[in-house]
Amino acid sequence: MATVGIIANPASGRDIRRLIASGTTVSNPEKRNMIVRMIKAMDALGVERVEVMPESTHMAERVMADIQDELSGLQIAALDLPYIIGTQQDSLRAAALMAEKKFAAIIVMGGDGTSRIVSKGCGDVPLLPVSTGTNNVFPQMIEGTLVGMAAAAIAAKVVSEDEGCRRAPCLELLDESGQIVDVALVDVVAVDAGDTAARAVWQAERIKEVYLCVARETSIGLSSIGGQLQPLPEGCGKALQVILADNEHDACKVVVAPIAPGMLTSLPVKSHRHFEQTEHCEIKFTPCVIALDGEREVFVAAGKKYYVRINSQGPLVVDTDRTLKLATQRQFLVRTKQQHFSHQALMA
Amino acid sequence: MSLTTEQMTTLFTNLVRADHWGKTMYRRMMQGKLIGFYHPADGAIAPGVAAGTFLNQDDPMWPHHRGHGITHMLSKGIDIKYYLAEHTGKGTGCCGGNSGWHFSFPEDHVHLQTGFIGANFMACTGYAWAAKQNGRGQVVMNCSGDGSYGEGRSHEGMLMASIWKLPQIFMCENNGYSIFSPIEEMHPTEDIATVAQGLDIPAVVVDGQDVFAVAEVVLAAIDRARNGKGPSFIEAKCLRFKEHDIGNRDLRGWEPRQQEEYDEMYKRDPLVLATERVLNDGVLTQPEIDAIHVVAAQEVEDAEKFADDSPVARPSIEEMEAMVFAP
Repeated sequence: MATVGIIANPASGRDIRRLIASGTTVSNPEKRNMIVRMIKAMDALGVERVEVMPESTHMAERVMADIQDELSGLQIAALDLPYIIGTQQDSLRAAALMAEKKFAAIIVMGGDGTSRIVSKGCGDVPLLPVSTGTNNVFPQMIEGTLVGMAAAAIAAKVVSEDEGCRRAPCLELLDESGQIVDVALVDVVAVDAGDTAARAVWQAERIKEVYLCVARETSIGLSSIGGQLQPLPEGCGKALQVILADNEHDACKVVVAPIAPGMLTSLPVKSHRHFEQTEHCEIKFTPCVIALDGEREVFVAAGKKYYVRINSQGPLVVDTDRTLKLATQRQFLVRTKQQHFSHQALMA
Repeated sequence: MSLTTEQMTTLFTNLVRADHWGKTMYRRMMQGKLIGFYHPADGAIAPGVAAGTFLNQDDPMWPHHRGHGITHMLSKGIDIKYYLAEHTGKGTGCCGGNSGWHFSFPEDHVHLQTGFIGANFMACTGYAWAAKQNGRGQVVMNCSGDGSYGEGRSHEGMLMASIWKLPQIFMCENNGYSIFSPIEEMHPTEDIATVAQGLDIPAVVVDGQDVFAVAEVVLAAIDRARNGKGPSFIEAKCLRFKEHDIGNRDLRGWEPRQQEEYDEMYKRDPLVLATERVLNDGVLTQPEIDAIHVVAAQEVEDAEKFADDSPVARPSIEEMEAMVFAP
């Protein structure tokens, strides 16, 4: 059975939004608890090996020390990254290594930003994004045990990738020559800012242009702007462009959206429309900083041209609900009496 | 949010000055031109610059002992030449050349630096309580390293700051080492922020190599404190490029730190990162950056001349006794 990878971002859920909003705090000990629950579920369902990205808080090593001797057959290991930098590059390199080693699935623990980084390196390995971040549109709020069960069903091929996974859309940021500069899984936003600094975007008046490939009524963060204006049906293959006005006099409407936890903010809207995969939308507001999935990443000098387009064939993502339903239908967690006794003998 | 171009330029200028000062202090210690010890801040100058740059003159600050607080103080607007003279044992020093490196700048609300790790917490909590009482809108910047959070005083100070909602900012400069001991041996979670969270103090963990990222968080924390929202905790994850103090070996536990660790660290030099940023973002041009370096080098040269030309402090017994408060 192929190995399952876990990338847990030790920095997720702890940025400036703890001070300026009431952002959720997910401590690293809690992330470690979640990893333990995932691994115990995978062990019970026959996964043989899990590799965890090494990082500065040593979650992998601590989990190994805590539970390795309790497991029936699963071997936990730290992924063999030659060194740790302590930035998002670690997650990117870990994802690329997991893809190279043909892992069955990668469990990603973080917010939208973490999933974005991993999606850039994971190739066609399916992702199980689990929310431990601030704005959680791409990753799910889901109990770790269930994540472990879904990962086991995929790794054991009880549910095939074709059945249990779907392609998520993504937004591609292109430069003047048409080269892809970066990608986002939820939102690309032009912000009136001079620097990336603490990365988060939380001042509504500085948000100028919003491009979304996910806009649900239940979205939080920048995606909620579109979610409240003109939601995108899942799988529609379209994206949404929202141009904000400088003030309410120039606006065609005002939308109230939860752009950060607990921060419902009024935004004056100049225009909004869906756009198709064939269209390259030019970002008109320059100079600006472009935020990708809520984090300021790319500085755009005055007059520089950047474009956004939607790609409906983004990363492969495990649909946990569907995967677990199919696993149940196929009696993945039900054993004959003979299988049950032999499993108990193995555990003993 | 979002720093202005002017704020970024100020931060960058202070970072350059801190870098020049750090190299100068290291050289002078090796040349025998400083008295006492010196704990280099190389690699970890960004949090101090971010902590000090946007404080008012009457905001009390307790600098971190690393780099002997020079980074923090110059950013707050203190003229460092009087500190260099003090550290050189000269009568023109900020404390008449009598304090070694345990300095005070009362007019700038930097008081009573000591060599005791964790001593800052009780004093700063006292300043913050006074600030809350006097209603002048002062904010207290309480800087220290991760090692100080192993002291009981840190927990007491944070507890009081939380229950009394004091205008206090805990700036934890976590470089991953308490002298020789790696963080994983000293704290069960590595993240000191979890201590603050347990005391209901909002806590942020930020890249301490990025001066602009830390500064934006500091500005948000200052805003909270001035508006009566209580304390904030900032954990700036930073790197220690050199030994704990000059003269000691640079060990991890009992073993020398590995070359690979240095190689990786140097790629994240805060000044290198900030220089790339201001150039890429069009905040400064290379000639402007060069000019900032020239001014910083001149500042250090002038201060060294001032310190070296000043007379050695030779207080009488009576004068020294008058400086001691304890019976």
